[in-house]
Amino acid sequence: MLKYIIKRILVTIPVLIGVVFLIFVMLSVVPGDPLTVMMGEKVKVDVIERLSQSMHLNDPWYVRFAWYLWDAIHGDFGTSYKLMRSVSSLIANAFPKTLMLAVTAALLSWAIGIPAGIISAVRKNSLADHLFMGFALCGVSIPAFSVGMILQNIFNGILPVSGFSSPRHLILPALVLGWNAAGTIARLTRSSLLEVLEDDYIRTARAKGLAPVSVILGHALKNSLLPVITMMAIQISSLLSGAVITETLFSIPGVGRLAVDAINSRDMPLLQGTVIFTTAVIIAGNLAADILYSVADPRIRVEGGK
Amino acid sequence: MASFEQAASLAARAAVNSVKEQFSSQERMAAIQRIEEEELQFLPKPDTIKTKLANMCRENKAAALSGAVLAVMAFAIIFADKLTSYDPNAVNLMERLLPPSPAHWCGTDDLGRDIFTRILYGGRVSLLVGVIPTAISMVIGVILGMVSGYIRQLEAVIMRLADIVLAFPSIVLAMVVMYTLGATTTNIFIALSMIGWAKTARVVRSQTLSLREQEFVEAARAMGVKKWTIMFRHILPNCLPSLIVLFTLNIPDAILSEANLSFLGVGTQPPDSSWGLMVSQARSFVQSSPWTLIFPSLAILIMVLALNFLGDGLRDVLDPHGR
Repeated sequence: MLKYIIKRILVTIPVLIGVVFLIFVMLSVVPGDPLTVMMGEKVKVDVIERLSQSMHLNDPWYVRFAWYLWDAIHGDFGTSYKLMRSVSSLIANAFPKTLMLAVTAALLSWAIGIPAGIISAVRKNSLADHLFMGFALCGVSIPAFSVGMILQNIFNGILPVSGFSSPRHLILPALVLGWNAAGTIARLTRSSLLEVLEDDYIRTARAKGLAPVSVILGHALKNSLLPVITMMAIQISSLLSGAVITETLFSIPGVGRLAVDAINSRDMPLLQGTVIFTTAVIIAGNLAADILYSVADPRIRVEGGK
Repeated sequence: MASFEQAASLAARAAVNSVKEQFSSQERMAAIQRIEEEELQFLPKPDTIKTKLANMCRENKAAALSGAVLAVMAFAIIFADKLTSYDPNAVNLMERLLPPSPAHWCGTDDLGRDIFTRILYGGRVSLLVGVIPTAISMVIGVILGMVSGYIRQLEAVIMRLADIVLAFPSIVLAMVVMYTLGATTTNIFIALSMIGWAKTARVVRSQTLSLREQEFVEAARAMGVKKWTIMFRHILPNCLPSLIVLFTLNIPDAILSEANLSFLGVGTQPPDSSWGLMVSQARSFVQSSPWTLIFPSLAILIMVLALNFLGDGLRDVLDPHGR
């Protein structure tokens, strides 16, 4: 078990370095002198010289990459060109808001998606099944910002439609972000439960006279939720992706909004920092889910440990 | 079933042998042919992709309807200039923000442009963005996936690369690529292709891994067929059903990604229009003129929904284990 976990952690390290490298290279080829972006056109030559030295701007790219990686490992993503604050502190400020939004949306999507999936599977091809599945498919088929704008319009005056100062501000953005996720969860719960319901041990449970409710909730659900756990991990990625859109639409000062602002103001260290941070969170989330999954299902451990 | 077919086939063989003994050569040939034709009727016909599709259309009404809807939409988008007399970019400030009417089926936007016309023309961008990057990314994904599944030495490199691409939240990576390259429609193709290949590569790799162990591949290897020929002539055709499904389900992803990029300001640039851009431009006028938001949103919803239904239907018939 421990061996599997260690192996799994070691595999993520090259991926993480690759992520930093990819972003670093992509943003290095963007034309434009960082010092001009930072200080404007009129700067003294010796100031430029001194700053270039301290920011390693005169070094070749691989030296700069090594410096960046070294600093990033120590939690230092540089200083924002525009806001003149350390990127790490900006992210530390913004991340709790993104996390709160994502967690609320995730809880909402499980609370809606899992029961909807169970009902759809148990009452396969009923009206409820078609309704839930239609609703789920719509959730993954419409851009989040369309839904968001429509909701903003409907609830204008009833609920806060922008900003982030009270839990009430979370309702609409979490709804927008959670609908898509709920759709995915509902569809997966349904198909996975349908598969499990065909198994022999379910027939045995029915044959020995268990009530249908306890067959489904006690026997079938446990096994059918295994793929759903994996899906939840993958959802960390889509929730953080979606947060970029939702935060922009609802003016929530989270990490996604920070990244969009960084693009609009051509603020490279901030963009680099937010993207790398978000990706690292996703990688960590996937790692945690993999480990959880292997605790829940010993078969994975054995096959994965080979 | 199988034993019945075997019995039928044995009976046919026996009949052929008895015919051989009894008749002259010409009669014999004709009789043998007749018997063999009868024998063929008993053999199970392998379901071709075509018959599977026909089955799907008969049994899955939603998928069939979606196919029809997509055909109509594609037709309307391609022949947009024949279907509407308005210029999608002609500004007419006298007719700003008009509600839907017989003259303007979907109303007009803040610059007096006919929204129905802009949806048809904007659909060209959305459709191209759906199909082209998906096709490019799938070609890349298929090649890399097959190579990493078949040639073990390259597996680690290619799959780690895929891991890196998949680790990013897709919109964020697309955003960074668009920022690096600059916001043009061609660059949207490049950005989405650069991101999309990894998913395909994983699917194709796992299929290649199981196909390479099968007898027909082993036989080809034993006969000395070259690696690349095995991959493209023997393995690729067997991946085709799941690739068709993947293609159908990747198009809506690409359309939604373009919409998101346009909303964030790094996608399609005005005066060009795409559905995503139209929705995000409606942001300031939603309150007073909801039609500026509703119709382009509906266009995206209908197309993506139809593609998803079609993809689900195709998966049920072509790739039942791909869920």
